[in-house]
Amino acid sequence: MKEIDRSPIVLADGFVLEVEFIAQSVERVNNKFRQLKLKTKKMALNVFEVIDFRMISGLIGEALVSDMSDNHKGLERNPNIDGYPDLLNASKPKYRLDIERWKAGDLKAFIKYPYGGIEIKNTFGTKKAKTNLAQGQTRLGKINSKLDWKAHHRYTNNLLALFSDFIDGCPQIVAVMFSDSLSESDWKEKQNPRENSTMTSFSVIEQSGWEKLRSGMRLCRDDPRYLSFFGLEASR
Amino acid sequence: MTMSSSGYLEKEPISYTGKETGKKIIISPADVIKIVIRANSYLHTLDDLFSELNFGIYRTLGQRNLSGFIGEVFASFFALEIDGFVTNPHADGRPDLLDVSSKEALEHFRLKCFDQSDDGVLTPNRSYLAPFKYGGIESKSTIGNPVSNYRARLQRELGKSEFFVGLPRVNYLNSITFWGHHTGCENLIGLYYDYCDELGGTPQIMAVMHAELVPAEDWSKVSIGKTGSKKTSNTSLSLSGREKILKNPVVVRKHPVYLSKLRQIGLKI
Repeated sequence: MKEIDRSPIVLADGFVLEVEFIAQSVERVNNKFRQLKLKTKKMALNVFEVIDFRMISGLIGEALVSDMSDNHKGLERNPNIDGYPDLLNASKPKYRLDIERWKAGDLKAFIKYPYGGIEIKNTFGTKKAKTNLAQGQTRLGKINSKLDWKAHHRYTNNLLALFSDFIDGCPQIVAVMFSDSLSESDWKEKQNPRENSTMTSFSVIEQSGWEKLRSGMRLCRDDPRYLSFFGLEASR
Repeated sequence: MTMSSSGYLEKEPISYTGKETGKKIIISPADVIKIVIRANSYLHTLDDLFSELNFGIYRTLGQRNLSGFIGEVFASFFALEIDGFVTNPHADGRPDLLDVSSKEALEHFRLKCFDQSDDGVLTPNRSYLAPFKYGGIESKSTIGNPVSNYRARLQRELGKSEFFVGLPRVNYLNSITFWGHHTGCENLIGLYYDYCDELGGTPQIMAVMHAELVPAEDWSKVSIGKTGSKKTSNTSLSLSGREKILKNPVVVRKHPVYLSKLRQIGLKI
C-alpha cells in the first residue's frame, strides 16, 4: 500500500492511531484473504467464487476489525453485534474498566459506546448502469466514480472507509480513507425496509460525505489504475 | 472428520432425458456420493479456515443464505465430478447446472453465452443463460421444516427459545420441501442438510433426492412481493412435487437417527 497521507487518526480524547499501523493491518488482512483463496482453490473451489458477494464486503470489515483489535492494546472489538462503533476506544484504564463491567452485565452500553472509537465500513463500489460483472471479476472501470458506503445510523462518524476490489479473483482492500467530520447531513435519509422484509435499514453516504472521505485518504494500492481512480499519480 | 463413501446408502440413480437433444442422462449414486463427500469436506474445512480469521462463516451467512450457499457448493463439485456439466456462470441464471454433454449444447454455451467486454474479459450473457436452451439440473438445499411445537420442545429439552446456526435440527424435523423464485424448474436435485454435532455444528449434506417436475403441477402458485417491496417472488413444491422428490432418494447418510427420521417423514428409503 502507498501512504497518501501520513496524518494519524486522532480521536476527540487525544487517542492516536498511526497510519503505519493501519497499513500493516490492511496488509495482514489482504494476505489472509489471499491464503483463503489459495487454500480453497487447492480444494478445487475458490470460496470467493461461491460466497454471496454482499457477504464478502462484511467479511472484509470484520477481518480488519479483528486484526486491529488483536494488535492494538488501545482498541477493542465491540462485543455487541449491533454496537457502534466497531472498534472501541479502550486506551484509558477507566474505559477498560467500564468495558469489562458492561461486558459482564450490560451489553446495551455498547450500542452507542460513550468513549467513541472507530467505525469500519467497506464498499466494492456501485456497478455502473448496464454493466455486466461476473463474480470475482475486477470491478475497477465498471463502477461509478463516487464510492457508496452504507451505514445503519446517520450519526456514523470517525469512519475508516475501505474500498476493495477483486484482484485475481481474490478480494483485497485497495484504499483506506478516514473522516472525523461526518455529520447526519452527510448521510442520505434512511431507507426503511417494508414490513416482513428481512433487510435492515440503512443510509448511503451523500456526495458531501464522499468528498470528506476522499480528502481524508490515507492509503491506496500502489498501482496506477487505482491511484488514477482517485486522481492520484503513481510512484516513480 | 467427514464421512467416507461407506457412510452413505446408495439408492436410485439420477436419470432424465435431456432437453432439446433427447439424450438419456444417468448419474450413479456412487458418483453422487463422491460429490457429497467433497462438498461436505469442503464445508467443514471452510469453517476452520474462516475461524482462523475470527469469523464464523455460517453464523454470518445466516440460515437465510446458508441453504443457497450449500446448493452452490454442491453444484460446483457436481460440475467438477460429472463430465458434461458446468455451473451456470450467470448469478441469476437457470438452471444451476448446465447440461453441455451434447456437442450442440457445448457449442451453444461456448459461442453464445458470453459477451466480450472492451477489456477482453468474457462476461456471461443473461439472455442465453436464464434460461439455458439445453437445460440441465437445478440444485436446491433445505434443512427442512420443523414440527409446530418445536419452540416449546427446544425450551423444555435444551433451554433454548429458538434454533440457531450450528444446532442439529433432525429431532424436530417435520417435512421437507424446496423453494424457488419461479416455477420453471423441471429437473431438481434436492439436498437435505443438517448441522453436525461431531463437526462442531458444521452443516453437512445428509441426503440427496432427485425428481423431474411438471412446472404447472409440481410447484405452488408464485407469491409476489407487494409493489415497491424488496421481497422477491417465491414458490415451493406442491404436494405432488413433494411426493415425487421423496419417492426418489439418490444418496442418504447411514446414520440411525437420520435414516429413522427421514423414513418417518416419507422419504422412500
